[in-house]
Amino acid sequence: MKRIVVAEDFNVSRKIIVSTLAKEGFIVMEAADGTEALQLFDGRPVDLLITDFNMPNMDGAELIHKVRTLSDYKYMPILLLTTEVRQEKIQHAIDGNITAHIKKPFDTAEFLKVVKKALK
Amino acid sequence: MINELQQEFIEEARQILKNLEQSLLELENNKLPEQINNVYRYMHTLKGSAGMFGFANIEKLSHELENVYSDVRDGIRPLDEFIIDLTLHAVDVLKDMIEGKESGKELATIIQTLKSVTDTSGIHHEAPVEIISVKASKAYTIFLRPDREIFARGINVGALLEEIQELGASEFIIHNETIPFEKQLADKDLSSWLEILVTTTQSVETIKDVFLFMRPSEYSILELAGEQDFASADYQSQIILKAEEISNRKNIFENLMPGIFSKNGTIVSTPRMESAASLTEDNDDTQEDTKVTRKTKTGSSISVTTKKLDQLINIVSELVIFRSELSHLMGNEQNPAITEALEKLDRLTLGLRDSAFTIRLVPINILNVKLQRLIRSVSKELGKEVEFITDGLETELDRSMINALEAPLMHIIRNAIDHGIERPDERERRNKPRKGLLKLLSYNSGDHVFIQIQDDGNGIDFDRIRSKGIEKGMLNKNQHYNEKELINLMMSPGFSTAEKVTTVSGRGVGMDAVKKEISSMRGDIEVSTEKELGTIITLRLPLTLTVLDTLVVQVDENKYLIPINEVEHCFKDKHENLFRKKSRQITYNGQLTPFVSLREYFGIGELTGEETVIVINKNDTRIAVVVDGIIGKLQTVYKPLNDLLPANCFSGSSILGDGSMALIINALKLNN
Repeated sequence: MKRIVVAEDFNVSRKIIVSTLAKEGFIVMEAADGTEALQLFDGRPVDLLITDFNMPNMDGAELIHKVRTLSDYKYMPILLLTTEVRQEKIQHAIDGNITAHIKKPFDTAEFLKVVKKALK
Repeated sequence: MINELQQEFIEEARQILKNLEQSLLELENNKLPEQINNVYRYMHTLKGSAGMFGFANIEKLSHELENVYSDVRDGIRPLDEFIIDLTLHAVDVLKDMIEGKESGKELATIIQTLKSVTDTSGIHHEAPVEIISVKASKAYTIFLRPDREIFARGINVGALLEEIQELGASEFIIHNETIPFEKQLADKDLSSWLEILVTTTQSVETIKDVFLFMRPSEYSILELAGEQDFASADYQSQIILKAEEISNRKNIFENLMPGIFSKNGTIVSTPRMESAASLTEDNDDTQEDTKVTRKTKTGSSISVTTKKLDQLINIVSELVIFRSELSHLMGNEQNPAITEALEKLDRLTLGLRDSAFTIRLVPINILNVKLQRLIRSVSKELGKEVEFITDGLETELDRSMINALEAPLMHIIRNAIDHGIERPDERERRNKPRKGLLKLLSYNSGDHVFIQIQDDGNGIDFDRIRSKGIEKGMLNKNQHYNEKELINLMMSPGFSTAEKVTTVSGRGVGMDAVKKEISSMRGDIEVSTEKELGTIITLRLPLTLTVLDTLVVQVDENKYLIPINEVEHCFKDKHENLFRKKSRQITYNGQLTPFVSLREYFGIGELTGEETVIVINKNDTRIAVVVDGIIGKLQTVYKPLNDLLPANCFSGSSILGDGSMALIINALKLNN
C-alpha cells in the first residue's frame, strides 16, 4: 500500500485530494503547510509527495528543497500543484527536483493517472 | 422445460447479441477491422454454444452469419449497408429464437438470403481455429535522452523502460555506454542515451503517455514508414547511420515483427495477429482506442439475476423500516450502551441501504443500442437523415426507472424525427446541414438526474396545436393561449389519439402517456422550443424511486406524509382566520393561493384553535394544505399504492416508525 503525503493549506482542496486518493486505496497523510508536512517525513516510508506551492510557514519550494536533502527521499517522486499564474523564477529553481506539475483545478481522472504513474 | 444449463446459455446468448448489436452499429460508422473480427467471434461463440446445448436452429443461423463475416474479414466481400441490414435482421430473429418465439418461415427466409450472399462470394470457409484479435501494428524509433539528473526529479527510469517494453516487441540500442548501463541505473547517474526500436499496436497518444513526466528535449518518437526513414532528416538529426547500421536495424525490426518489410522496403502496417499474452495487457487501452465509449471499470464484476437483487432490496427496505420502529421503541432509552448500539445499528443500516440502492443504479447507456436502432429505422422509414450524438450516458439511474423510461424516450425521439427534423432537401433550403442533429444528454444535478433530448428541426408548431385543439373542442377559438398552455395541451390525454398511426408511432403512446409515466416517477418534463431552430425536451427525475424525504403531519388521529421537496413554506394560523371567507384561499407571497383543509376533505370534524398551513409548490403550481400540525420529518421507503385503489389524492404509502401506515399526499390532486 503506497503512502502519500499531501501538503495544501486550503482546507477544501486538501480534503478533496485526500479523499480522492483514499478512495483509491492509498494511505494518505495530510498537512496544512510545509512545516507540518516535513514532520510527516522524519524517516517514515513515504512513496509520493503532493504539495501546493503557496503555503504559510513553509512554502512548497522550501519543503521540496528540504525533503530532497534527506537521503531517504532524494529520489522520491514529487508532484507540485500549480495554478495558471506561475511564479516563473521560483518554480524554475525547483523544476529539477519535481516529477511533474499538476494544474489546479484538476480533472480527477487525469490526476489519478499521473499519481499512479508517478508511483510506478 | 428448460433446464439450468440451457438457461445459462440463454443468458450468455442475450449478452452476446447485445454486444453484437452494438458492434454492428459501430461498424456502420467506422469499418474497423477489429470490429469485423469481433462480430465474427460473437457468431462463432454463439454457434458453438448453441450446438452444445442443443439449440439447432440458432446454431444454423449463427453458422450462416459466421460464413458471411468470414468472407468480409478476408476481404472477399465488402461490408455494405445491405449486409449490415441483413445482419441486424438476423439478430432480431436470433433474439426471438432465444426467447422461444420462433417463426419457421422467417428463419428459412433469412438463412436462404445469407446463403445467397456467401454463394455469390464463391468460396465457403470452414471456421478457422479461434483468432484472437486483429490490429494494425506500426513501427517506431523512440530516441530517449534523459537529463543526467532525471533521477533527482523522482522519476523511476527502470519503470519507464518497462513501460516502453509493455508497448510491444522492442529492442534497445544503448549509445555512449562508457559505463555499463545497468551501473548507471544503479548509481542513478545517466550518461547514455537510447535508440529504441519498437513495434506496437498502441496509439500515438498511448505511447506519448509513457513519457508523461519527461521534458520535450528528453524524448522523440519517430514513426517509420519504410527503410528509407532510417536516413531521413528527422532520423539524422538524432543519429547518422552507416549502411551496415541501417541494415542491422532492419534485421532487428524483422525479428520483432516478421514480414514487416515488404519487397520494396516499405513497412507493412496491415492488420496482424497478436498473441494472446500481449492482448490481455493491452485490453484497457483497446477500449480507449475504439470508438465505443464503454467505460472501463476498475475491479471485476459479476452478474446477478434481478430476482436476487430485488429480494436483497426488499430485505433492506424492511430493515430500514424496522430500524425506525426500533428507534421509536427505544425512544426513552436511558442506558448509554443501548443508545450507542442503536446509533451504530442506525449507521450500519443506512450504509447498507445506500450500498444496496447503488447496486440498482445502472447507466442510461444500456438503452443506447435500442435507441440507435430505433433512430436508424425511423429515419429510414420517414426519409430523414439523422445524426445521433450522446453525452453523459454513463449517468446512472435506478434500474426500474430505466426500464420505465424506455418507452417514453423512444416516443420522444420518434416525435423528434417525425415532426421535428425536416426532410434533407427542406433542411438544405433552410441553410441547415442535410443531416438533422439529435442529441441525447444526461447529467446529475443535486438530487436529480436530467435527461435532455434536443433536435435542431422545426420546433413545435404552435399554430398546428392551436388549430387542432380548437378542432377537438379543447380550445376556445376566440381565446389567446400562451406557449406553456399549448404545450400542456399537447401533453394532455385525448389530444394525440387521432394521430396517423404509422408503423413507427405505434398505438396508444402519445405525449400524454409520456407525461403520465414521467410524473409517476415523480419526475418533470420541460419543453423548450424555437421556430425553425429546434426543440429541447428536458426530463428531470429523482435519483431513486424508493426513498423519500417527507414531512409527517397530523390530521385528527391519522398521520400523513408530504414530500419535503414540494414544501415551500409552513406557518400556523387560527382556524377562524383561515375559514373566515367562503373561498378557500390564503394570501401567500402577495398572491392568492388556494388551500385545502384535509379535515374538510376527509369529512372529519372541524378544529378550532390553531392549525398549520403548508404551502406546496409542485410543477410551478402552488396549493396549500391545512393540517392539525406537523409531527416531524421522516426519511422513508416509499411503497406505491396498489393499482386497485383509486389513485385520487395519494401517491403512495409508507410505514412509520411506530408501525402504523401513512399515506403520501399528492397535493395537486386535492384540487380536482
